[in-house]
Amino acid sequence: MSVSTISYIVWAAIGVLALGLWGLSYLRPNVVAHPSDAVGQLVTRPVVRVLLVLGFMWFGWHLFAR
Amino acid sequence: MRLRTRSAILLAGGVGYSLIAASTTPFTLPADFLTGAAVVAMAVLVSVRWPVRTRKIRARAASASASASAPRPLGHPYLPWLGLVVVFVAWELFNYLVHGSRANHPTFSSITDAIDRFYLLKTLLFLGWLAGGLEIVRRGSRSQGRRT
Repeated sequence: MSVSTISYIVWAAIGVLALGLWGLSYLRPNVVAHPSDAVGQLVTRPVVRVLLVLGFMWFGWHLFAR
Repeated sequence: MRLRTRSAILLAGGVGYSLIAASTTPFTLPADFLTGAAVVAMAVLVSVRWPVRTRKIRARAASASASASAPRPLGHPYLPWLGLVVVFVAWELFNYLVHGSRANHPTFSSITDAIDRFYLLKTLLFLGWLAGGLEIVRRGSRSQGRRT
């Protein structure tokens, strides 16, 4: 198995894990918080909310513009 | 305006904007302009709708989680997400810093570059980014508690 195949498998596993947590957040919200609730907690912290917004802006710029 | 109508207009606008933005090519002026306009819109919304101090939204978040209808959390329901972020960042950094070609060690950007080759997938990715930004703005908004 090549190095790149292993890399892609790990990326795929991270993606599946994210989807799994998302699904679980609907089925068992007391075990895994819904993503929007997690965001709701993050925006209650003054520094974290600024970092979240700046990070999200940079993320979109990096993906679609540069 | 009713919430349903407003949501439908927002969705239609977001889909239309994403369809146009996804048709642009990175490192060109149209891509810069359309992505930049969304970034500026988010900055404006945050400036207008977010309270300067977080005390009120912190109290609102605490009362929402303590309400009788909310399910009682078992342990720390945010911990799985934190774990996912840690794994994601660690793997991204490893691929970015390790010696070798980008083909052998693809970063998240490499994956999204591959996605961007498909117009529909890029449209969905852009729409997801817009929706995520709107959710961040909405969650931190001073009026969010009154609407829900």
